Amino acid sequence: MTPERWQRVLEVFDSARGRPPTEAADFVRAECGQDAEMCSEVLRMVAEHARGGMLDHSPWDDPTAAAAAPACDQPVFPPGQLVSGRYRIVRFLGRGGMGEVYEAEDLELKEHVALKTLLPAIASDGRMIARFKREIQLSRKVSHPNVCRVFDLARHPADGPASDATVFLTMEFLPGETLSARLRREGRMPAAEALPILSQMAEGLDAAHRAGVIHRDFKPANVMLVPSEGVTRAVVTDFGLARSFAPSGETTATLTGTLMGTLDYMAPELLSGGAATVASDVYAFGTVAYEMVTGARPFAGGAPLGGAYLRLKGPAPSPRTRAPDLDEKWERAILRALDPNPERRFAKPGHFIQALKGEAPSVTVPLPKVTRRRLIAVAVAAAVLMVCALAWQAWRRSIRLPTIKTIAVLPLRNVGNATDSQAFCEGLTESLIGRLSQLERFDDHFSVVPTVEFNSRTIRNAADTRRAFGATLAITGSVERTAERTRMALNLIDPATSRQLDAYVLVAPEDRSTALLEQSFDHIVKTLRLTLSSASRREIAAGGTSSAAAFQFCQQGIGLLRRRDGPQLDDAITLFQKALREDSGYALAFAGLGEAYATKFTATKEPELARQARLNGEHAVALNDSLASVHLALGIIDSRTGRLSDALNEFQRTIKLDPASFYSYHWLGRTLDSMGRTEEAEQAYLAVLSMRPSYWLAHNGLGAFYYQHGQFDKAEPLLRKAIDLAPDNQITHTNLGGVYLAKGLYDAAEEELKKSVATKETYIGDSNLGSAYLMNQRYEEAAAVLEKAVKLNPNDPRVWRNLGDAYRFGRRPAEAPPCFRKAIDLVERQLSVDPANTEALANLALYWAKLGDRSRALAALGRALAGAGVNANTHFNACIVLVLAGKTPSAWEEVRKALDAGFSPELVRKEPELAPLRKDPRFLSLLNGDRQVHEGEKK
Amino acid sequence: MSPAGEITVLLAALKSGDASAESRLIGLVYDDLHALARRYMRRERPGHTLQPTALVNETYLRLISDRAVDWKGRAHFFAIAATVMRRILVDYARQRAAGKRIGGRQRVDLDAFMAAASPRIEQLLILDQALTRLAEWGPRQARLVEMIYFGGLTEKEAAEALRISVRTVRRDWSASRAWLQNQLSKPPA
Repeated sequence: MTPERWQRVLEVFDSARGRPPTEAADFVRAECGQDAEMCSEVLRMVAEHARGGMLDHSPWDDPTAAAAAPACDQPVFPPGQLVSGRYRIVRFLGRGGMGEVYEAEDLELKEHVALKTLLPAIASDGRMIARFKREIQLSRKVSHPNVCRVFDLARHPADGPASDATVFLTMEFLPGETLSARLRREGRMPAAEALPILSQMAEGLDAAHRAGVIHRDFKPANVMLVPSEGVTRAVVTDFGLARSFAPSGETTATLTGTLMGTLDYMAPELLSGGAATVASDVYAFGTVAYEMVTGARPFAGGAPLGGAYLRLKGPAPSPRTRAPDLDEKWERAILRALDPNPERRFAKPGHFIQALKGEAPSVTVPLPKVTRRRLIAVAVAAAVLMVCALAWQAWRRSIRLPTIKTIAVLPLRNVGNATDSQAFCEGLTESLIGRLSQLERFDDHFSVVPTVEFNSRTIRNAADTRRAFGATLAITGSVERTAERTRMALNLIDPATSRQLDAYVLVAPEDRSTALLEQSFDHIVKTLRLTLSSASRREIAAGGTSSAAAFQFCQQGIGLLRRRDGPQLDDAITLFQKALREDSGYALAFAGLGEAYATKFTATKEPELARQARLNGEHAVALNDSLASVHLALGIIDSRTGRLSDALNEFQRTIKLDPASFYSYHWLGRTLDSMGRTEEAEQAYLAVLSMRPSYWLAHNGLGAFYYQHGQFDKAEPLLRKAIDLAPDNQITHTNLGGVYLAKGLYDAAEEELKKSVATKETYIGDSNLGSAYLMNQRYEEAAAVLEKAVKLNPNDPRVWRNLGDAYRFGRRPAEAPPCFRKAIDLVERQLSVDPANTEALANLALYWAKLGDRSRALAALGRALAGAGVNANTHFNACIVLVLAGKTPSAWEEVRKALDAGFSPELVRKEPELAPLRKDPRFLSLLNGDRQVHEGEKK
Repeated sequence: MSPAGEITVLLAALKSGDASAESRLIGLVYDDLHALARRYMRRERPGHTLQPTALVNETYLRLISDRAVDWKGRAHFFAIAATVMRRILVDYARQRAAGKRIGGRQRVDLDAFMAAASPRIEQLLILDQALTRLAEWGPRQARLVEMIYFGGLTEKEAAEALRISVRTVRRDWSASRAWLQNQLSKPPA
């Protein structure tokens, strides 16, 4: 069609649609004249206009909610018609995906049968019919009162040419309604009413399974409820028919649509291409049971395909969320039947019924020790596909466990050659520690040393963990990955004696390595005899993914993100993105990605990263609102991007979800501090310390806080302790170096900062070392080390500023202004995201002042001092700005405020920019006076 | 540039007549809307239907925090969101259809007592093809169908987005609907 022609069609149609039908046809014919093609086009449109169709319903409607669409076509067979010379049609019953369904009388056997016609597309495909026949032969072997009998496949007319014939199937006629109709009419049913129906269905399925017939399409619509003598007989229909319709060749296109039924009961492994098994029937059975007692399907979605999609992504929600009064036995049985892993489901539907009745032994029931271990071994064998839970001597010995369980998990060793395995190991270690830490709130005597923080160079073995952290138990292990499988070995060690208490080996095929975390965690929980309710276990397992690849990428990403010797952000980001390509609904991966972007934003101040971070973080929460770690990540993102009050909400939310999350308290402290809520911040840091007295970050956090607030004497011992706990961590050295700088102990500062740089050369270490040199007026050395710092990170304005100072006071003053300009650019970028950041505004003022632009400097300073979170640093910066701007009287005021707020008198004394004040005798008295006040505070 | 910033810029480019901005916008909006759609599908109780407009609204608010986007930019956004919604649905249908061919996992709905009213996969794909053809000679009408059918916009909203009168919308919609319905009822070629 051409646009002109279409325009004409529109016009004719528009005029025609308002007219009565007969008149409209004449009108169209008259309008179109000789153009027969257009005439018939518009006439057909007019006809379509009069009737309903697909475009009248939103494509997003839930098909189960929508009213049954009125069938437009008449049934093929009218009542009374003789079909194939043998069946007389009694009535038309309805239409299914395969064709039409009738009640008919079998004139030879004098009984009523159900007669189902097959769509011409099916009937004309020879191979499909052959397969269909085989299935029928197979299912005819099943003779059971709860299985619908299938009689025959026939043609009508019986003797006509095959191409014109209607093919149909005859089966047992079951007067009643489908389970699906019952559920639609009456909603969910009480367990007592559901049980007999479920039992019968299970018997029917079991009988078929014994005969080697898989149903493949079990659902309420395939269960007939036949009232007879006061009881309801449940009959499963249409065994095995689904598979027959694997199309061959060219019929595919026409069949895909028409045969499309509901996917709601299909096991996840079928959705992803696996073969139908007894286990997939068990899954469907579990879904039906779920629907019967809750009135909804576990993955019911608002859109036709949503549920199927979700099922691929994760475990089923508990039926008790919909039916809170449901018996726990039912809940357990249903969730087991719905386990995403087919091997963990019941072996047959009958076992499901036994579990409901409490007849089957459950592996969760505590049993005497040896038996229980064997049972666990059995359970594990059933669970991790290729399993070898090796029973070493330790299994037979009774493990003597300490009362106070302080457990350290050493980094899992990577013993494979795969290049990406190191990060996988680190991620797995981190996840295992994370999960175990969550158990702390269930057992007062259980605590976990956050091992990922200690460096393998200082903690080499289990005994070291006792010396360093007072651990009473240690877990060591290794992971070996090959292309085919991942092998994980875990040892439980008593650090006091270095004796092995337990050993455990898990092997999972590569695509199931997700199971390693679950299994090792479960095993440790059991070995340590920690008690864990099913609810808390589920909570801990939530947020997972069913994609093994996504899981691995995410674990690797977390490993890289949380590395203390400096996160490897770009690699982490790539890994999270890979995880999301595998599973775009994986909340933890979105959270990790967001946090990685936010951390990168802190380093680079690139506004785009802040937005990315926030988008991903919010998305993670949108996907899963109930995970502490997701809220924590969003809080970190908010905090790093300047949304401080949002961050507070997130951390409070995290703590509510997981009161043991000391990391949330750490960030809470950081955020409150940035908001100027100093006292609350101190409380938060103290809370971390009381929760984790042997954790370096706890000491470092509070130490850095005191450092920031000029309480150097309080900061020093904390930072020293942090260094004791994590000697090879450059952060603690950097901070302690900073304290020494502030106290004017430049030699000590230089020593610490050189250690920091030697442990790991970071721009912060180089930058602080540069500051130490600046303070000692060794400008050339300062410039050299600061040049390295800006190479490592060209995005920190403070480093550019220091470099500028090194040039300015040294021999190269001409090179200083570009550095200050660079610093200004960078800090303005930061302000574009976080416009009210006091520190950034004060820095901006300082850089303008150093560049000689007074008015801009003073404008920025005004904004800085008007904001929240003005601290000693702000006042000190203000003082410099005012001196450079020639406003000495105001500068005096600011320097006093800075000293009052605890700013180091030594730094004030040494600051080269304050030369104009230094000439004044007041300067010395001010420094001495404030020093007394400062020391008085300490007491 | 961040997605939000980029969307704002692209909307502006679109308004000033840069047609290439559209396909880039679609790419940007797709992921967000897709994730959101899934979230809705999970959260909605059974029996409820997805509200496409609510979905689009939320995406809009999430992606366009920039208040500088005026109502015309907003209309463009809604139009694009409808295109994206079409694509989400059609992609899903295509995947299902392809999965069937490979896996041979045919489904039969033998429930004689109920026929689902939701469009079948096949019909959706035919509709998509027909709509693509319609766009060749009637781009405005095709766009309108996307907005009303896939995007869930009302006639009034669509009129605003396309900057045409409601009466024209009604005329275009009736004709396009009838034409498409006719394509659907033709036997597959």
